[in-house]
Amino acid sequence: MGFLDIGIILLLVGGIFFFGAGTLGLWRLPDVYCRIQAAAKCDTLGCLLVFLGLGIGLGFTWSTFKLLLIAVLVVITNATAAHAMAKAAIPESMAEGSCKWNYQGKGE
Amino acid sequence: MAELLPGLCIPLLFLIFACLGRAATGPAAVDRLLAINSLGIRIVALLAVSACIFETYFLDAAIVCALVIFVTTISVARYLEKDKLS
Repeated sequence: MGFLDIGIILLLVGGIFFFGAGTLGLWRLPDVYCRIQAAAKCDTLGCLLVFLGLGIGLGFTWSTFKLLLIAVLVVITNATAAHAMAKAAIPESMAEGSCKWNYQGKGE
Repeated sequence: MAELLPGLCIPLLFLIFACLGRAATGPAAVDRLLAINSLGIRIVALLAVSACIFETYFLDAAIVCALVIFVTTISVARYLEKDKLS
């Protein structure tokens, strides 16, 4: 087991750690917006770490280009999806009073 | 490295089922949508790991899965906005 394998294993375990942190935040955080933030950021970073580890392990091949393509796709689409879900969460949380914090500007 | 990758699939499967449980018990519709989005990202990562274990054509399935999850999330979120479509 060389120096490169230890780096790859550290990257993959770091990715799994951030996936676990995202799932924990999805279960334990009190509000829809907190859950959206935790899930979006932890999923993006965990996916990038896993793809970086697999790409270093595969070497300079055609599969690494596909991994890079999926990584760019995930970075763009995860932020867009989180923004759309936060916009979809605004009216019902304001209407039902389930919002724990005081958000400025809307509904007050 | 390749003999350690099945040990990576087991925590990913556990996290996928944890997200599925969150999607089943979410109080609002946006919670379920968020859990399904996170589940899709974990499925994409699991397909990428499976491509390194078995065959490389799992990467094409990972690209398609990422696109389908994105289109699903955007369309359902646009449907859930109260003052636009419904």
